[in-house]
Amino acid sequence: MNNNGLALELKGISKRFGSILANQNVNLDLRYGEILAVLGENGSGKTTLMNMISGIYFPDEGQIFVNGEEVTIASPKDAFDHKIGMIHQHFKLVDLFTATENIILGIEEEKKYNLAEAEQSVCEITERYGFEMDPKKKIYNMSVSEKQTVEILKVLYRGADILILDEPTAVLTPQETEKLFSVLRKMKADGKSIIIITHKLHEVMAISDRVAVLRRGEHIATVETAGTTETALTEMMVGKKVSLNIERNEPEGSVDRLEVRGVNCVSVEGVKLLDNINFTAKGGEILGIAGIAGSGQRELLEAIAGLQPLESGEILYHNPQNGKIENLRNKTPQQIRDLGVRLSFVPEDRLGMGLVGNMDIIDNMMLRSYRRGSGIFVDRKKPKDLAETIINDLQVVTPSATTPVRRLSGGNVQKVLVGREIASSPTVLMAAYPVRGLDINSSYMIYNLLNQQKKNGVAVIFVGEDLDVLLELCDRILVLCGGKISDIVDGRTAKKEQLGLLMTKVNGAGKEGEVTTA
Amino acid sequence: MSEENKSALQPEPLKEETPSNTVETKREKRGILPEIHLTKRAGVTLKEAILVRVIAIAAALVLCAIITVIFTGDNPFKIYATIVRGAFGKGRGWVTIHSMAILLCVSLAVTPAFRMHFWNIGAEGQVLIGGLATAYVMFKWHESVSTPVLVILMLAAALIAGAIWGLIPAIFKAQWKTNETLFTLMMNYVAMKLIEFFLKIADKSGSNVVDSRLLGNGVPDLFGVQYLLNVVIVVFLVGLLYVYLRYSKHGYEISVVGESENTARYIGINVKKVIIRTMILSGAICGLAGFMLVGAASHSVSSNTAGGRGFTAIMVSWLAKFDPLMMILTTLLIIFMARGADEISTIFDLNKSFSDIITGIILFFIIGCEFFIRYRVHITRRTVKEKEGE
Amino acid sequence: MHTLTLIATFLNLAILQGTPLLYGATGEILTEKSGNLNLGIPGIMYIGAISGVIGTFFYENSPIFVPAIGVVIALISCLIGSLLASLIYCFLTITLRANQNVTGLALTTFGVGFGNFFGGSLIKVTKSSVPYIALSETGDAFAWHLHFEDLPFADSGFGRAIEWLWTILFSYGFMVYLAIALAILASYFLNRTRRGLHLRAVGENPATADAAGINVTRYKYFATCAGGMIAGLGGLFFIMDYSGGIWSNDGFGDRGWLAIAIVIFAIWRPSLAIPASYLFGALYILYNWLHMPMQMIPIMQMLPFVVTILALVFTSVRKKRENQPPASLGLSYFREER
Repeated sequence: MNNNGLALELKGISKRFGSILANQNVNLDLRYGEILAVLGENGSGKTTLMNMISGIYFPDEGQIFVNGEEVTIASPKDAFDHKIGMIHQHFKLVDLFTATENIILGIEEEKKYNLAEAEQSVCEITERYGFEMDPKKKIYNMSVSEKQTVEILKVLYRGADILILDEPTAVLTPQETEKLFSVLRKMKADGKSIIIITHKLHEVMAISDRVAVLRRGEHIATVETAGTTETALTEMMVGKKVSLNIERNEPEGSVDRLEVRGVNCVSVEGVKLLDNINFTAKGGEILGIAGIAGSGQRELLEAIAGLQPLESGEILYHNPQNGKIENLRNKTPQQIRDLGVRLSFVPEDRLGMGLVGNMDIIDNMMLRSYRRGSGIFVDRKKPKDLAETIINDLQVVTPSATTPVRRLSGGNVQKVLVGREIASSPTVLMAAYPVRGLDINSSYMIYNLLNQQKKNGVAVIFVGEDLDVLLELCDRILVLCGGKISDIVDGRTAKKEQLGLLMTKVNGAGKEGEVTTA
Repeated sequence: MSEENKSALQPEPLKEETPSNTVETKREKRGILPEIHLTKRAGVTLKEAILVRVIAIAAALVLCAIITVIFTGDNPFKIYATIVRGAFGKGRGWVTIHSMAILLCVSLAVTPAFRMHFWNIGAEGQVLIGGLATAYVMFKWHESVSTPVLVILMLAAALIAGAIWGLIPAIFKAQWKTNETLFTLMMNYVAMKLIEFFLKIADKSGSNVVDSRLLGNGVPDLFGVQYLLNVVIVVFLVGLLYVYLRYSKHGYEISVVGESENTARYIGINVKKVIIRTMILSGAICGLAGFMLVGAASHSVSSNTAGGRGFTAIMVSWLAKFDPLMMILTTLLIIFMARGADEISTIFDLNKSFSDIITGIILFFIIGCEFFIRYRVHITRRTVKEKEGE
Repeated sequence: MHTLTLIATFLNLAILQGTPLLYGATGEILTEKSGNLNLGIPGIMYIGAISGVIGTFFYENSPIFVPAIGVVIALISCLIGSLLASLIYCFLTITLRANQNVTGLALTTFGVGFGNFFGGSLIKVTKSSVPYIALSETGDAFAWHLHFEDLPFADSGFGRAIEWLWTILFSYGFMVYLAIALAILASYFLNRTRRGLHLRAVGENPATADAAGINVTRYKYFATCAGGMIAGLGGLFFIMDYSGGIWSNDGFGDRGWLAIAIVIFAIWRPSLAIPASYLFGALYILYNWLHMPMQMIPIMQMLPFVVTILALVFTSVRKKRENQPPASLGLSYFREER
């Protein structure tokens, strides 16, 4: 056996999706009984890489070695045969089943089906590693952390020796995270090898033995955790600042437009989504929102748009026409519009929320405006003109205005959506990841549109993931971390590393800006 | 949907995973894995979609002819001729058109709900309850009030009764997400039994039908032409519903709710209100169909008054992609085949149910062919790994 | 004593009336647990019944007729007929992912027509003057059981004391017991076996089942075909045992829809379907026993459906997770391109 002390070794792995190179020539190794953290920004190819180890994707190039033997992993079953198990971010559990039923689901064993026996073995595993889990508890009664435990148990029950956890702490409270880490340490002591994907630097420092950093699909370096610092890791993760030459004008005559005061939100499961959010968006400026995916960006925008009920707090709109202040708290989108608030929202889920995929461009234009007029009929004339204007002005590539938007490419879908939202001449424009999946030209067109709105005195709120873009486009940048505001910094003076640190830990170095408390 | 396609697809089209026996040891050349997988089509041209459907209908007609030949021994071309004669032969055309009108009316009724993805399979009951309300008004007042007043009362009663029958499941769906398919299905039988109850009360002789002896003559024929009124009403209704669904604000809201509740919320549509409003409309049109059947056509009522049209209408509407104008064609197809098959069974002394079998076969083919419009089947050979031994 | 006999006879009839419903309900529960709402069950029950009748008809007219073999032939042809009908539904909804409601309703139209057409044709073949087919000898074999009078202790005091019990428990043909056995077996399968667990997972969350390595297509086919075959037996029981081997067109009536109602009423549990079926059977015949005025009969017959609606409303308002329809019921599963 060609055993070089490595549980897993990747050599020259590449994977592309269409024109996008997700991983390029990645080399990675995992020792026996170690915890390896894989660190990287959103879209740096971490999850794709891990999916290739667990059999969800198949690499275009490269080799995978398990225990020194080269293997082919073409399906999740192959991965299990090599004792590799992955715990995904999105749980795959049957709500109605108990923990044990979920754990044994899909296993074909020779021996007779015996739930009590299975529960016994689950208990043995939970005791060995110090999980807290009632094997008879139904999933729908469980907290997120318990569900995650079931996912981990599923992998352990199948006898995995290599565990891959995809951002396991993203959904956990600090206490739960601590518990998870103690379990992971016990597994490590038991000889298991663990890969953990995370963005949170202090967790990397706390749990891992080594850190592998990925950036834009490439492996930058693997370093011993003991011999590095958070700052060094951040630099490796975000890389050097790249100049994009996005136009940015000084804000003119900015006035307070939208004031968010002490907003708190809680999910159905009781997890805190937004924690005491305070800020003011000003007309005539672009306020960027930075943060690791799932830090509360979506909830914040939906709360303002009237789609997410608030636990407490106020959302105050300063009407530029009459100077009145309206409280938008817990109003429906219709009520907000009836108040005369011109709020536009480009949601993250373009075809699932912002647009109707099976409708054509004209009908999608009508989503915002179909109520206009007193008659019982919709007016398709103006939406048709608008559709044609947008198609021309934004160079939307489409056979015609009557093509269902589902059939357009991602960039064109986004142009249609942004075009429509801008067309209603808003006073507040919120855009969540408006350039995600877009090519360079389309992206710049969107930046220009946002700048144009800024010039017109609109309060633009831009949620982005590319730090370079945020730094060049935005006047101020609000950084979210775990539903809290870490800091609000000046977009002209902030440093990339500083943002990286703010995104990964709450209330880090907050010097340049101050948390705006209205 | 040809036979070859069937056999090619039957083995596991879902699985796109590669077989596990490809885990091979080092230095061996990797195999090439054949795989069948499906993708949703981004869009089909109208031409392709029509072509697929025409092929499916043609295949169904061939199969139906073969079956008919087996049972009758007649030559297939004569059979087609018989079908055409059955539907549009002398003195039959008008009856065929009336049958179409009634079926079309029920199909129009279920359409708004379906466009909203509310699976109302209770049209049968909504038609029956409308018919019952009509019959009750006729039974009670046909001698005491003037015909115009009676007709207005009948119509109002039918519309309200149908609307209530649609409203009940809608309220529960909107409020508690109660499964509407099962709810509306059960409501059919409640309506049916209510009619039987009425029959027993109205006619002490224990007959299964209450007819004009007890109900009077209902709505007078328009210009003295039997069924003309019904046909005119339905022609209007087709236009009305087409306009309502395509050009009205309500119709637009129905489409948005059906396509994505999330989007509906995003633009501030009150989803519950739309569900309830639409089901009232759906039920009321069914009630109208009941009014036409009882008040303006047969002047009689029985638990068989709807005659399964409530179920056939679901298929008509679905086959027409919920488009009122297309429904004229699908109704024509179904009625044409049913009446033709009736004719065959009469001539060759076969059982009346022959037409149900023929209808069933045609439906199976059209239902099946949608697959080829919605999905693209790929049979590719993916190279898993091209690595020579080291 | 007299009251006991009366109650015993009533229960006896209720159970006979409920048995076809129990077959249908057990079959539909199995099907729905895989996420398929098969509204073709009423049609499949017709097809099952007529297939059994056709098979037996040709055999009964042959010179070497043995009743026991007649029974076997009836069962086999019934199972084949309902299997083929179920396969139509499976192919359309699972492989071709057609709309389940539309496919099911089309199958019911087809199935009821199929039954009546061949029933009617056979009636014609017999050149009978009455509108039905009588397969009395096979029917008798189906309904065969030990009659109380034939028991050695029938005339003793003890015998007379337990006659009512015998009537309730032992005076049925084998298919009544088979129905109970199948329901219990289905319950055991769903709750106590690995495959049952997998099947429930498919109906609840096919994507999760798929990810766990369960062959979703295979399970859906299996459950729908097995369910259809069981339901088909219900049709056969109605003709061969309950009606004494006599087929008349539309004789089976709307019992198929009643079976679907029972599925809801029994909150998708085969074990609960047993009492539920007998209850529905009892409601079906209750009017005969209460000396009600004629016009109340339909109201009594309406009860099962009203009760079902109430059950449906009640479970959805209470939102107890265990009592909900399988989560993916009515939806076809398509694994999206990754």
